[in-house]
Amino acid sequence: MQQAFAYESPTFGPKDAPVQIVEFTDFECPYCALAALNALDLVRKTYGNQVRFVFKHSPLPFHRRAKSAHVAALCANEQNHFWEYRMRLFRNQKELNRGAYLEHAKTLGLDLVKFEGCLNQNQYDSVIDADIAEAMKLGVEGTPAFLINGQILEGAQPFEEFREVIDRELVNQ
Amino acid sequence: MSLTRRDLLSVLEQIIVGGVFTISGWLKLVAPHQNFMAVIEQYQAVPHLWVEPVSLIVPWIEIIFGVFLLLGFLSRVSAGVLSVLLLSFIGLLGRGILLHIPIQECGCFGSLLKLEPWQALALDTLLFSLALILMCFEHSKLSLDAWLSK
Repeated sequence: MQQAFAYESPTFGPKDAPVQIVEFTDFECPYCALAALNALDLVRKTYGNQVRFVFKHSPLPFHRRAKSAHVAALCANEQNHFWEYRMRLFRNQKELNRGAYLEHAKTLGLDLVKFEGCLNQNQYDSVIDADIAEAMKLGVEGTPAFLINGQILEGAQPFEEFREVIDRELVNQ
Repeated sequence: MSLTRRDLLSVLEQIIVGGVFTISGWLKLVAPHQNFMAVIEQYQAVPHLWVEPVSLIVPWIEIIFGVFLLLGFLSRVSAGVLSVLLLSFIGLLGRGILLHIPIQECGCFGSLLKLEPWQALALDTLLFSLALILMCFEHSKLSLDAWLSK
């Protein structure tokens, strides 16, 4: 189905933040969950408004349940609950199925009728494919991967690696 | 050359244990080592300064001795080394389960196959048993060791 709306990647943090972290991730990838729940969360708590996060969908082809999870997250994005929904998906990676997606939506207080309608519409394939193409263009082949003010970090990097790059970027500003 | 049942069983055991470690080591080596570092950190058992060296060394031990065992080269030594690794994995997993440490990813087969901690523990226990058997018996007549000792 053709995407008939303008899509902007989910962001968190001020537009004029001196550091931007673009996260290429896969909801079924265990290392992505480790990075999101640990290092990235610590970055957010440590640097606050100095960092802006941008989310890019990068489900790996051999993760059969990943794409549906990304679609569910995009449906949550329609109701401005993307980032909380993302954390719920990563915390509950064992349950990437429609029942779990609806349960997360219910827990976050989303409009379930609208959410389920979005899941049924299946309108986000082109958005996800565009993000995958963007990753490939940047030479990013695996997940997770992070683009910090243009510098690529691949893998579930520890917080110290993020801190080193972020601190250097803040000094250079 | 007459093959005994032990010869054939040894080959099977070598393929299983050696194969699992070869694949596991390879999957770790082709991914950023930071992935395995994140896995090790989860277990909350390795001192922080050791995490990176361990993440760099263990995959090489896995793949080298995994391939050796697959080929039947230095069979008993390879089985011994992998037994030690397996014993440490069993210890870490068992401790994690007992202390309810949240283990998101066991670190067994990367992004390819997700195992629950108890599943990884069961697999490692089976592999440890097979590795012990390989240590106890003489190499198979079908192994590289047998060919080299002619």
